[in-house]
Amino acid sequence: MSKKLKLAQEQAEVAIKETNKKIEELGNHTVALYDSLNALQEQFDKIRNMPSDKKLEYEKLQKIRMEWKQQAEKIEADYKKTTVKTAGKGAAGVGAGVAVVTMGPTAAMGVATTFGVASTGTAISSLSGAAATNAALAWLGGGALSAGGGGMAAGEAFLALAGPVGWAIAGIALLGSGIMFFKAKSDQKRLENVFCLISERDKRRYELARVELSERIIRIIDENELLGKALEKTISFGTEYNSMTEAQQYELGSYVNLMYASTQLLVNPIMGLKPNYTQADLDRYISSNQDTCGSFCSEHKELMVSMCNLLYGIDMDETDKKLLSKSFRKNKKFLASSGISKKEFKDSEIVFHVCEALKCL
Amino acid sequence: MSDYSVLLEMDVSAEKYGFNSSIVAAINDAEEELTSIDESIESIKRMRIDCDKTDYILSACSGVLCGIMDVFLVGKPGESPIGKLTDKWFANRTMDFAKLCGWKGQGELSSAVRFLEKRFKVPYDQHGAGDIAKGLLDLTPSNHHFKSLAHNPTLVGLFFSILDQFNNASHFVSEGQLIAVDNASGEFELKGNSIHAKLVCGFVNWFVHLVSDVSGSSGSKGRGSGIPSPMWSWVNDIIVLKRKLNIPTSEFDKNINGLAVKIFKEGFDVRFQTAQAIPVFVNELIVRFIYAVRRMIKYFSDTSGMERSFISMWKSCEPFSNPSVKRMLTVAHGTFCLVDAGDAVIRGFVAGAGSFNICEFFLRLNIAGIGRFTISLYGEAKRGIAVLKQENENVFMLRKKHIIQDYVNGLKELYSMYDDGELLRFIDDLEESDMYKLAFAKSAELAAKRSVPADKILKSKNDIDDFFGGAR
Repeated sequence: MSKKLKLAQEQAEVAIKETNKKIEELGNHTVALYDSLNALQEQFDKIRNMPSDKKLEYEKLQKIRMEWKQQAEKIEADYKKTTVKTAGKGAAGVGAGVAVVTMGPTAAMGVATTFGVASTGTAISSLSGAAATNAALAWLGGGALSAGGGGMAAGEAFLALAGPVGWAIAGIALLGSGIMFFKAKSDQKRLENVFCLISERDKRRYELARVELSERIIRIIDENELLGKALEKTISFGTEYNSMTEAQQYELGSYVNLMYASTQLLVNPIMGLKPNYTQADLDRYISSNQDTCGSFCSEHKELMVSMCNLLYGIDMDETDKKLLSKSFRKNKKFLASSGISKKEFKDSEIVFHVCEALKCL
Repeated sequence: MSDYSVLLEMDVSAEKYGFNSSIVAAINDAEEELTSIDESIESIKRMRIDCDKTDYILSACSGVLCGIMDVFLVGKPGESPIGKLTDKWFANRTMDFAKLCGWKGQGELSSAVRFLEKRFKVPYDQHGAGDIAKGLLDLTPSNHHFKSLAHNPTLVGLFFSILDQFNNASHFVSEGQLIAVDNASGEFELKGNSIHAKLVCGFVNWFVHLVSDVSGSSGSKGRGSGIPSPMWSWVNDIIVLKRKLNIPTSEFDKNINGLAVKIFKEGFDVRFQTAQAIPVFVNELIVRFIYAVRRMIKYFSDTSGMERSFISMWKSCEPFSNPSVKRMLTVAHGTFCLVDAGDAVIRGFVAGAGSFNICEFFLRLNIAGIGRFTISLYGEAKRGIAVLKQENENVFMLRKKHIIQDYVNGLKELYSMYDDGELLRFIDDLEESDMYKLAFAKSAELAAKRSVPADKILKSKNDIDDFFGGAR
């Protein structure tokens, strides 16, 4: 591996670590915000004269919130069990999960469950059980390696690592090995440049995420304070809405809007951590290009989405595409992890389809 | 930097929460990176040739014009109008130099030369007329400056001059042999009380003797033989080096050395070499001038009055360090060499009367032009290789730029998403007795900015009443 590629990967990994630290920091603050929001809502409920059906609906919402919390705790417990198991086997264990190692699992799992998106583009919060655990770990990056068993080779986790963080670590390590299949220095250099660009893009995505996470943390801290003040004021107004002055009623209305706005700090996605390409994007591409993409794209959606995420935002010329395709074709680990044969890979012209799919975005 | 960043900077200082500070810092850092990438791309662009058809045509025309000048005004030694001018110029400079050294004479070159030869004596000035060297070395007044190594204006010449002055000896190259004559000048002694002083004296003697001989010796009749051109002296250096390294000299070395002596005898010396350099220099000037004028016209037609400055004008039309003017020079010197070599070949055949007269060919071949053209070709090759390497880097840089631009766009999107400091001030507004409606409107705007579903946001007093009355 050239110094240039090594440096690019190291920089991407540093960006990941920094992002993970921020995720952990965010996780530590979300709990307090969650409590403040609940306290304010309870106070509003005391004022509100809710009809019984509305009350039921509200209770349902509260139940969903509770379930969210329980699920986060469940994922955390699953994760702990897995790491103990893998460590017991003497395998790499958590060592492979860069993200999880650097953060407290509770905070991380909470964040992953809230903001995370599985490789298919589905929100992790809508998944359950093992699927949610795996998706959350994959989303956090590298975690799926340990979740799937400490001895799992990077290549086997190719598809599981379609989340935003995992790519830079295992994806490039796996695909980067394809460079050695080429004897010509110019070919090697071309491929190295492509992988350098992938690392560069990943680095920028994590930097973007880190910047947003910092902003989010500042807002959570500040708005937690504002919510505290709002709660104090709301309590001071009493519970009789109709006997309040117009100014107090407007103030209450403002606090309701504040509560909604602050809640979004818990659920709005982090831009840099969203997958660049989702299954919905692929479905749109397939439906509008049925003649050209044939059955391959529909049969290998997961692989297509992963590849699209890998090559998103990377400019390549025809020679680069050919070389990349060849490097994938010759990479047995990659083929095994993708569940596709060499011939099928060649016939499918997958790199071509991926580029076309990305063009249609 | 864009207006956008100015806007961002203003906001930072204005915000209560200090938010956007990390976004602005990240945008600024990324913009800086983009600027440095742009500079790298620009520097690669500067390596590219930016010449149009007219540039090439004008360069070729300059080459042809100077080639004609070379054919008719330089020609060969003895028949050269420009050569006569350079002869005269060198003679005047020799007399000027003699005057500086204390010569009192008036307008007599031979007297000035004699004065300098006597004042700065050297032991290696045998000219073959009546001395032993004539028979042994075929030394004559017309070839002794070439055959005597110390008369060569090269580093090897300097080395042998000082060696000869220390040892009272002379070194000659003749028929492919390096010949040393000991005790060359009985009464000679190098002045100076220490080695350093002697070295300085030796150098001064060598230099002044070259100046005195550049327009011929004191006893020369007619034009006289000057000092050999450095572009032909190397044939002596080859033989000397081979001899010192015990490498046998080849027939080719001897032949080329013989040819060099022959054309030197015909008058191809430093003076004629200088005459040859004149059309080459004129060619150089014309091309650089054409380049500068055309770029200047382009600059004035493309740049509006407000944007014009001397620095930007100089940048766009300076004719020194850019590959475009160098390409034009390659074309011009190439054309010049073509005309000159064509003429030399034709005259070689004419003078040979049926066979090819190689001496005539080399007398007319403009060595200065060939040298200059070679330098241009070397530069072209070097630039070509560098551009090829840089092109790949350029592609990578452009792709990296695309990624960073995406990142900057993301940051700008974040900036607009998190630009809610003013809206969050509704809490302060609520403290003011008459601003509660404005504060409420701000809170609704904040909720909308944070993507709260529209049906959930309380936008009016009715919405508030409904919410707390249980209707929502």
